[in-house]
Amino acid sequence: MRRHLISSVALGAATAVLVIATSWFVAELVAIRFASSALTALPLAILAAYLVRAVVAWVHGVISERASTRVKEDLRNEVVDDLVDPRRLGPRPSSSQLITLLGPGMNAFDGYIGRFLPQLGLALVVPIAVIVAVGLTDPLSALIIVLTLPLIGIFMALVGLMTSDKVERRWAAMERLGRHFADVLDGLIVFKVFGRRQEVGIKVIGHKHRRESMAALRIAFLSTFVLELVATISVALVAVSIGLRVVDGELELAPAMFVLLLAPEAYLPVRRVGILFHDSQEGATAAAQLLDVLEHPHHDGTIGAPSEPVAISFNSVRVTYPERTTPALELGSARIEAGEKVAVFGPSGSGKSTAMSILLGFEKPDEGAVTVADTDLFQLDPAAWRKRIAWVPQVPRLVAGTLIENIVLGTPEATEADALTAMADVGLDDFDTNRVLNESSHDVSAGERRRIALARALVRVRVGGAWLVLLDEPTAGLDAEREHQIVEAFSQLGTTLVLVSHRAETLAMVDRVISLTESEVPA
Amino acid sequence: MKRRGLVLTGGVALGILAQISSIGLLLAAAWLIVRAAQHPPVLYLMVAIVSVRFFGISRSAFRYGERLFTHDVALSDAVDQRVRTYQDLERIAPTGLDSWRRGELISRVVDDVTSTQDRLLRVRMNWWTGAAASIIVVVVIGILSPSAGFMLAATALALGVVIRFALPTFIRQTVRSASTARGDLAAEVSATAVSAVELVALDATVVAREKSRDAAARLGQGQRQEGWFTGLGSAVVLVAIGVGVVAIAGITRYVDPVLIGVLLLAPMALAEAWDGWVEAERYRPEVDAAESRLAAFADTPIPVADPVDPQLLPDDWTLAVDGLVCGWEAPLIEPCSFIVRPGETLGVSAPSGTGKSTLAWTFLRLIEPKAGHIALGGVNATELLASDVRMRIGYVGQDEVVFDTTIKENLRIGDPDADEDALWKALEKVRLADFVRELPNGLNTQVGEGGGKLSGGERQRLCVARLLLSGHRVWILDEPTEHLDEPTAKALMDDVLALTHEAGAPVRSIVVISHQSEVLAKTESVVVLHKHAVNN
Repeated sequence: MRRHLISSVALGAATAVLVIATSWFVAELVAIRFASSALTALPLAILAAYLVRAVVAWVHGVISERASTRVKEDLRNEVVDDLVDPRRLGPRPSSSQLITLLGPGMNAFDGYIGRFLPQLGLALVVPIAVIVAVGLTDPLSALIIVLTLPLIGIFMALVGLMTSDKVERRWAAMERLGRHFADVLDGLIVFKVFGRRQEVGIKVIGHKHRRESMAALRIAFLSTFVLELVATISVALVAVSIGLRVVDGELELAPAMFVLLLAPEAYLPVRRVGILFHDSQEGATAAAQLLDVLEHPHHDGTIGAPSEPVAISFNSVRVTYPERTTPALELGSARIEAGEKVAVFGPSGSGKSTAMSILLGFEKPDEGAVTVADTDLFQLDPAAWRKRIAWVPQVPRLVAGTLIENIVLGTPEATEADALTAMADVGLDDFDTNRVLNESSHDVSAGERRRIALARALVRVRVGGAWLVLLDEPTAGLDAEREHQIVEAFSQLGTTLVLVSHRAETLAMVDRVISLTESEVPA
Repeated sequence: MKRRGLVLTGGVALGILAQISSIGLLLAAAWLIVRAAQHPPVLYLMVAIVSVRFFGISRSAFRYGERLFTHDVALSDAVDQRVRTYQDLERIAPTGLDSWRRGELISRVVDDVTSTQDRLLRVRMNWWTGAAASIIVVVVIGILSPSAGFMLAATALALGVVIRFALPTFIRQTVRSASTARGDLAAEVSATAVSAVELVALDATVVAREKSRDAAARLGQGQRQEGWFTGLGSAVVLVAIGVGVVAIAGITRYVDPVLIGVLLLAPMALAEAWDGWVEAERYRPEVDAAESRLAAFADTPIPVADPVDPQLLPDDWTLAVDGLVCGWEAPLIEPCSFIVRPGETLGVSAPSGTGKSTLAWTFLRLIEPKAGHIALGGVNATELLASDVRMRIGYVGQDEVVFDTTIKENLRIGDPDADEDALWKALEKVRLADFVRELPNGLNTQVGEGGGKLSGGERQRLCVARLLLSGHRVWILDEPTEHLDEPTAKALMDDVLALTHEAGAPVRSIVVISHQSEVLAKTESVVVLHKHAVNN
């Protein structure tokens, strides 16, 4: 950033010198032609000065874009790294929020980093140099410029105070628009089935967004209006004042022309900064959102995890979500012995998935603790601990890649043979192993996804050394025969197993049921 | 439409006036100073002095109006564009969207629609006002000195051609790859976000991170090259000004001395107008790419074509299936046949791999059957409008979409006009009313992205309630009890299957597709699907 500022100031200085030179040459040219004298080498000097100015402008454009791009790239990477940070605790940002933030949100940064800062270099150096040059030629004009320039700063500050709130509203409207559209696209089928066309909704939200934007723009443009007004009126003042002094013979034609050509240059960079000012505010709002995403509690455990099965206990664990009065999970005390197979049972909403999330180290209980062989789970290094876990969530995800790649995901040391064995164990053997899948493969049913995840878990235990298997509704969507086959495969692993299920057949495979409710466990 | 035309015309006129004002300020001042050098009585300078002051004020006022007017038009156009794009997507869903990844689609549509606004704001306005200003200045200068006018015209024309045709060849490829990278990045981030928890649990985040890093790097590369172009554009404009000034200087030896200032400064006065052309060309490739991507949706073939001369939707809602085979590319099942009369319940026993959702979507006329017929009230479904078929046949899938809004709004998708009484009644019938009553915000509770703040069972019951509120006669339920605990599942199935009759009269018929014998045992009859046997 510092190197960047130095180069920006250096380019500003070069620009100032060239602007003064071209103005001087052109003023001389006017004076010579006015006197009907012959041209000297002046045209050549003008051409040369403009050529050098062109090169400087080019370099300036390249450098400012490079700086802004670097910052944006770093920020994008940081957000993605944070998203998959193993030490992140609590809920993760939604995909549509991230997409808006990393796409249009990042473009808002352009105004801030890309153009605002480099222009700042110009805005500092050029006016000072111009005022000195004008002052040496015609002190009165320099005085007018010196007196009016600060007005721009004052107006900018005043208008800035008025706009910041509007800009925030505009940003919120934009994000809402993105989320609404994401939702509509996700639900196209539902809308189609219910015959509910969304044109009206899109129109209403769109026009709401338009009105909010226009309200913000009316004020944002007001700031540029004031800036331009001050700048052009000041130039007009200078022009009239020198014109009148030229009539009186107080000022020669050449210096007068020189001042006329230079005066706007004193305001130009300042004006550009002003125009970019409201862009930069949008950038700052996006930055605040970004910091919000990056700020969350961290998992700070460092102790290595046991490599062989040990006992796990829940002690008075309680989790409550905001907006809910009843706790999401309440578990007085429960102990799972090494190698034991237990089921967590309870009606929908009694916190089974929350219990899984705590065991995985993604969520910290509000009260109470979970211990792994007498060590608090949250003192263990999360990555080392999760290496001992094979987890099959309720709705497993696929990654882009072949079926085999999906199965050895997380266990890179596994061979193709390991994957094929696991596939046979979950009844996936009739699948083409080289079939390419991705997260939205329509033709992979929910049951097939689940079996892919189950095969993944088997490989993780057999090859990866995991000793705690967590299964969330593992046999949903499977017929009785497959279900039996899968239950068998997991029973024979000899690991600790915690499963969530409603199904009597699946519950029959466990040694014990931990109930989260009063209701009866199906036999 | 008429308002748009007026506002747009006003915006363009104000834009041209703003350009003329800033040019007028410099040229009037130049005339003033040169004339002053002839030491005339001050009275002779009054017109110039007033002009300078007027232009000093008018420029910013015109510019303010121009910006407001054109932004209003652009934002309005964007709303229409969003609706058009939605209509295109709605038409081709679900099959037409297979080739797009979700994140990519959302980011593209949102970004692309925003980009199309720049067609007016950055491309057209810059060219139109810049060209109008150039022409006006050329004409004025040409009247004062035809040869200077010619020089200025030649400079402006040459510059315009270079900016419009020569420079873009450098940037077109760059912008295309940057915009591909932008789409890739959104798709990678979206894919990573939805599976982040699993990837972290598996310690398998490297690939996802590398992929988005790669896309971010490609995007950065493209943006850096755009900076190269902008710099080059500014450079070309400066060169043109220098050349213009020198060229005019060469031919002004014998013109009226009082005009010298105006003629020599004319190219400098046009700098701002010409810079606008560079900005326009910087945005043009991006806008072109966005528009052609949006247009591509309109050209995607429709998965199910409506008949040219559709039959009226019959009142009878007997569903008769004859030799039906469903599937995507390949058939998934052996032909099946059955009839569901009003008020009947039917179980369809579908083992894994027989494409339960595919079958449901075939009934809903979201995809074409591979073979056989579906008749509704004795009329072949292919002779009905697909949207009419979906007025009769409703559906709840096993991972049904719940929207990121309140419980109330989710229910109202079933019936936008339902009052709170009707909503509570529907919730009672699916045994969700007690749960909702206990929430501090009741019906106004937000359910989160994908209904994430509800448990799997609550989500499913909400979807059944939603279907209950709509007037569908034939329900297709795809594994309706998958995520429910057994007592609730049993009770729900009993409740749902009892909904076929009201006051003794049949009001709806229900088809349950499932592999669970407990569920199928509750329906009046059962048909069994067989996985398609591969020939040979």
